Amino acid sequence: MIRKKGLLIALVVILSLGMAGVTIAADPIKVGTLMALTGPGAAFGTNMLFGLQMAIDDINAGGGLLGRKIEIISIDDAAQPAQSVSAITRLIHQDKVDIIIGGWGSATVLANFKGAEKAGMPYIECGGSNPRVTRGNNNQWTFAALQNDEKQSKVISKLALEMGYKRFAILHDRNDFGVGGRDEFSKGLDEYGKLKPVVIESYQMGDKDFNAQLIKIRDAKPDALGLFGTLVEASAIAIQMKKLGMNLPIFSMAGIANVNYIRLGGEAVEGTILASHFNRHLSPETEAWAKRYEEKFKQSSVIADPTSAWMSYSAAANCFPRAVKMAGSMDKTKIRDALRQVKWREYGQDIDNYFDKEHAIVKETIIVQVKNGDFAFLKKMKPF
Amino acid sequence: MESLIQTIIGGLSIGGIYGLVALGFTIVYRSLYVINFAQGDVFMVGSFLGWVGFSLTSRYPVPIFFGVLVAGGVIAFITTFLIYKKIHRADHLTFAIASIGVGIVMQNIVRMFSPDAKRYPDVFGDKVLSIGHVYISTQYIWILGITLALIVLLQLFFYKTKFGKAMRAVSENRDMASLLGINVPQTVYATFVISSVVGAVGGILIGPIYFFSFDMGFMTGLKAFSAAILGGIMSVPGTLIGGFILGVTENLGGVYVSSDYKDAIAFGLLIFMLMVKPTGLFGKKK
Repeated sequence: MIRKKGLLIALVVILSLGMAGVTIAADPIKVGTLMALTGPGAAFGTNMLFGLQMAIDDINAGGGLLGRKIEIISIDDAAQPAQSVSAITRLIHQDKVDIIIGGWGSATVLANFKGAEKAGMPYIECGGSNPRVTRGNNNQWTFAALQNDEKQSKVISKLALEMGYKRFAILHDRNDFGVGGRDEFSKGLDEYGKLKPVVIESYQMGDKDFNAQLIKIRDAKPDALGLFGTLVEASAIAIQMKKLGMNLPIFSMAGIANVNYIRLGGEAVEGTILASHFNRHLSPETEAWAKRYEEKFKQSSVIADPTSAWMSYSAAANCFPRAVKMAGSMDKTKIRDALRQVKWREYGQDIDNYFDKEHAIVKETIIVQVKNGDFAFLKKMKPF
Repeated sequence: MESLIQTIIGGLSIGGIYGLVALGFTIVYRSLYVINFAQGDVFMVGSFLGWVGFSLTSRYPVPIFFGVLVAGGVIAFITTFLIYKKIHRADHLTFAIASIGVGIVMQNIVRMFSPDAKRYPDVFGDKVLSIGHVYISTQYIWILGITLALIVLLQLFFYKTKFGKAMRAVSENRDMASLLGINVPQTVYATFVISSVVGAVGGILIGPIYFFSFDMGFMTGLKAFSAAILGGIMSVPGTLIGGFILGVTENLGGVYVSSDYKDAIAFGLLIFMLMVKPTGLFGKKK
């Protein structure tokens, strides 16, 4: 009688443990993401989504995290700030995701990160490089996985000065990304070279004709151009510059480090020097990863661009799993605390990446140059 | 001085494009007294079809060019059959709103095939001629040449051919024209087909300079409309001149006043014209 009862109890215990295990394991971890899948930012946003998908597929193939599979919930915000705020609200309150990894466009991220802060949602943003995402905000939940414009412009201005240029023209988009680039680049020129730009002109995203601005720039006789804007306009500007007989070296930042810059700009963009986040020629691992990425997404109607995908891939494949392991659960506060301490090494880099006190990423800057229709690796610059 | 000349030349080229798209507005308004707000998106569709054609092969530019025009004409024919022929006699507002809808549909259909910008092969050559420090791309010369040729052809059509005269008769007095034996529905189709073909030409010409993107029709359409009002929406040569004036003024304003307010200058002209002489510089009263 006792033995039977003991057996029964043991059976019930085992079954309930098993069932509990089944219930927990069946509940997927939800990673929310939002970016431009249509409109001017689509080339970046689509690749960013693919990078995230690849990382999550890799993790799921390895058994997931904490014994759970990971599911992605994505929303297109067309890089419109207002649309992005609704999108992040939906992800947080309707879809009730565990963490958000994504966000593209400085103006968009500057608008949507406040939603994450208010709601206590860990948010690793991979696409807003304006320093105002982290600077002076006392962010509790938002982490900038993307090296910001302030750091990149400082690096690129220092490099341009080292290369001997003295008369700088600046042409920038009037959005947050362009204005940020203009300000930080000018600050860098002043700090490292005691120089001021000889001419500053601006344009609106969506503009097609830049003759007016370029003629004014030509009249100021610069010897280099700092170009801060996104890739469709940047390519058009490079082409129209050539058509006006202008042969200025172009310095820019990761905003246009996408294969479409070369595809749209053709010959005209050869020689452009960019501060970037990734280059496939950095090491054998980066080359292998890039090939695997291109192979996985070759069927898409948007060209697979490893550089644009790397930002979200690395956040999701390197940073996120380490934070979850460190936290031991998907509790948002524990995840956030883990993100503040986690360190990870990316392929081909010589130092660990981590988030500083303001939740801004600290990493090496990869400098690339457009050569023969590709981004050639130029040099690495350590944070300074 | 050379910058001034450069600015004016750039303005004339973009002005030519505005003029071509504006011609679409003019042709439709002259015949049917309605504004076709899908005109900007027709221009975009023409550009898209051109990109499709030239991406397949860059070896037969002339047949592809005419192929795109035929395709544009066919799309216009279908749109007229399905939509325009039923509503062109309705009041202006109805047609205007319906045409905005048609434009949105066109944009989104193209967007499905191409959500991002696309580069055109340099079908008009990529040489740049220079006279001193004034640089003229061969592209711009093609734009001006084809635009002027089109104007001549259109004027010949409207004033020297039987069908062109018939179309003018319909615009003058529809019922009388019908009584005199003119096939009025045929002229309605012809109006939309011609205006679309003209817009499509503009789209192909501008592709190599500004790339193609599904939303390129919006701003260009608005500016072309301004150009038509400026030059006189009832006059074909007037519309083209309106385009040139708009392009040059916009460019001059951008260089010598402020590039931030370039668009404001263009639309400011429109407002000014509507206040002072709504029929446009070369317009005749109805």
